[in-house]
Amino acid sequence: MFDIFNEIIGTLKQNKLRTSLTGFAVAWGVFMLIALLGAGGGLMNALVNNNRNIDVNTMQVYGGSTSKAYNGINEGTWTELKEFDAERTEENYKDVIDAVSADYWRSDTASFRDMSSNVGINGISPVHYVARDRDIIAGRKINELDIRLHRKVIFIGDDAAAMFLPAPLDSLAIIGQYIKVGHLAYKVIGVFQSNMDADLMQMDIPSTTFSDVYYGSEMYSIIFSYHGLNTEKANEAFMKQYKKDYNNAHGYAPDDDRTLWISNSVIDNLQVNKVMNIIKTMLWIIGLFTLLSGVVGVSNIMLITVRERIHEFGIRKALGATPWSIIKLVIVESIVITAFFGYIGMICGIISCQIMDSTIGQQVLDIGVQRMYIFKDSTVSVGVAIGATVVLIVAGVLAGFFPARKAAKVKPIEALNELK
Amino acid sequence: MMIELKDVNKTYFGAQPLHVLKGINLEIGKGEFVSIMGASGSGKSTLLNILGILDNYDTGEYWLDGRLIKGLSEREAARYRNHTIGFIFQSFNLINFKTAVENVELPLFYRGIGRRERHHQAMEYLDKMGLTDWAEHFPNEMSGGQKQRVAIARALITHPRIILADEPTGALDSKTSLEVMELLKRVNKEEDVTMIVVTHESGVANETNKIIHIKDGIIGKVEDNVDHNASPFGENSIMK
Ligand SMILES: Nc1ncnc2c1ncn2[C@@H]1O[C@H](COP(=O)(O)OP(=O)(O)OP(=O)(O)O)[C@@H](O)[C@H]1O
Ligand SMILES: [Mg+2]
Repeated sequence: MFDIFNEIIGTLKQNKLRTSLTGFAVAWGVFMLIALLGAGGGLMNALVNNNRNIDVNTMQVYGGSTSKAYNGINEGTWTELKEFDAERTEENYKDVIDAVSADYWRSDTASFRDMSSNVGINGISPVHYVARDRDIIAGRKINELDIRLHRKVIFIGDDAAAMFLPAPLDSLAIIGQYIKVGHLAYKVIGVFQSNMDADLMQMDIPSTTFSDVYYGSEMYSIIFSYHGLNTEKANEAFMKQYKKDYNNAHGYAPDDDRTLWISNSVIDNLQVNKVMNIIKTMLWIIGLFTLLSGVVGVSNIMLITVRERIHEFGIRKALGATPWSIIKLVIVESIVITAFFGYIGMICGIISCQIMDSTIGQQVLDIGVQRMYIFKDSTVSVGVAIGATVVLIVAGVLAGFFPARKAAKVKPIEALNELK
Repeated sequence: MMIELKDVNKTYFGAQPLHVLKGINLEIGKGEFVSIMGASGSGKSTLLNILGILDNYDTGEYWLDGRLIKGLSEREAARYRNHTIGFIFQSFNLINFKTAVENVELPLFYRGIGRRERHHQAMEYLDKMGLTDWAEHFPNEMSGGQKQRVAIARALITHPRIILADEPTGALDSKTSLEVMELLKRVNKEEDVTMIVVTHESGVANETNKIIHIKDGIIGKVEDNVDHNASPFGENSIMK
């Protein structure tokens, strides 16, 4: 093997320009493959990160409006979710639904010492966090005991905390203090990272407490977690049935599917997955084709090399070189070129992925409702690196094979008669 | 017999088929030193290439050292070329990006001999050719005579049974030609190698012990030349 290596170094040195041009083609191909995969991976990681809760199966149901007149109810009537809808949901779908949270919402005035502001008050139960999580900065969220005991506790955003205890003060010291909402005092149990949306600062209180305080309030949404609906079809069927039951309960047209608006994490998830798979496949295809053009380049150059060296191969054959030894010489040379320059391309690709990760990977896009990463962990995995190595070696063999076979097939006397 | 040809025919199928060897019958014994002479285009090189298994023939039989050479696989042919046959060419056919010693090593590389041993033996043969100081030089840094001596060292290093030389002095001046012929003569004697030299120089042919004339693809006169007086220009002279 070492001998073959020596042979190859010798011939590569002979053709420095050609070797480096070929090398560039391969290095570029691999660089593109790695950089694309890294960038694509970054995009997808960002996508996953922005949809962190997609592993949990939840649905959130909102009221809508009728899309057809029925039984004296006009088209375009706003529909509402009622207390008994939440109860119905809990009772009627026990086989798939695990936990139900009736979410309420209204605005009210929150104050602490001499600071006060209009805020949005969410009446929720812990199931809500399964579907719409909050990042805790300090303290805790609303829990089951808060619900059962109708506790007057409140979970507030860091924006509110900073308003109550401004800059020089430690805003987190608000935890354990009592703030006033409306005319009642609530104990602050935790601070979450707020969504920066300009409209209103949000605060969570137990749904049971909310019902006590704001009796007769309109329900904002019903959130429930469920299991067993694994396909898009099963989910669609369930949602259809759910809407039908709702329509029957409220006297809307049974087949009106605008009366409720349902956000389903599984379907979102499936769609996200679909998009991700498409992106992934596209990237591999583009990357591989770029690499392929590099390989075709190597193959071409090897063909030219073989033609130029045909006289030399004739000499080697006259001295006892077997066809296999000639094939080996050409293929190993091809592998050496692709592998060596491929590695250079791979290292450059990995470095550029790291650079992407440390620059735009750290940027957070604020789109109001949510903070989004446009890029996250754009680094390539060891698996991809190993995969690329295998692809490279295979590519090297392929690029060398046809020229090598050609070289081995030539009759020695024809090779010798070939002009140098 | 080292070499035995029975009614060997060879036709080149180019634009027009060319019947080059028209029934060659030839016997060359072990350790003989023969030359093949003939006009240009008479088929000398064709014959020598068949003897060296660089080319194949159409009909007839070629026996090399008691074995029929016919329909060999490339691998078997490569083995014969490596173990049994040594080549010397008019244009030397050295690999120009390899040094003299690397060129000489090459046949041993294809025999699977280790690097150190290869180098050792190659240096020994270069020494025999008086080229020790030129071992690390590339072919384009050497004179024609030196190159041909490197080629001879390369042909000898595998201890072949026969050496085939196609106009080995064709590219050399008369003084160098004489030196090369003296070398071949010595090798023939000392190493007991069968030596076949194609030439159209009568002076070169005169150095050999037997002169085979080929004319229009058949063997003509076979001269015994043990006295080395076939040359009209006298003993030990090469007229160009
Ligand atoms: N590969 C080939 N294809 C077609 N014709 C060929 C080929 N090689 C040789 N010939 C023809 O065959 C004839 C014999 O060629 P060969 O080389 O054997 O002659 P030669 O005796 O060695 O001549 P010279 O003294 O000029 O070297 C020539 O007419 C030549 O043109
Ligand atoms: Mg000739």
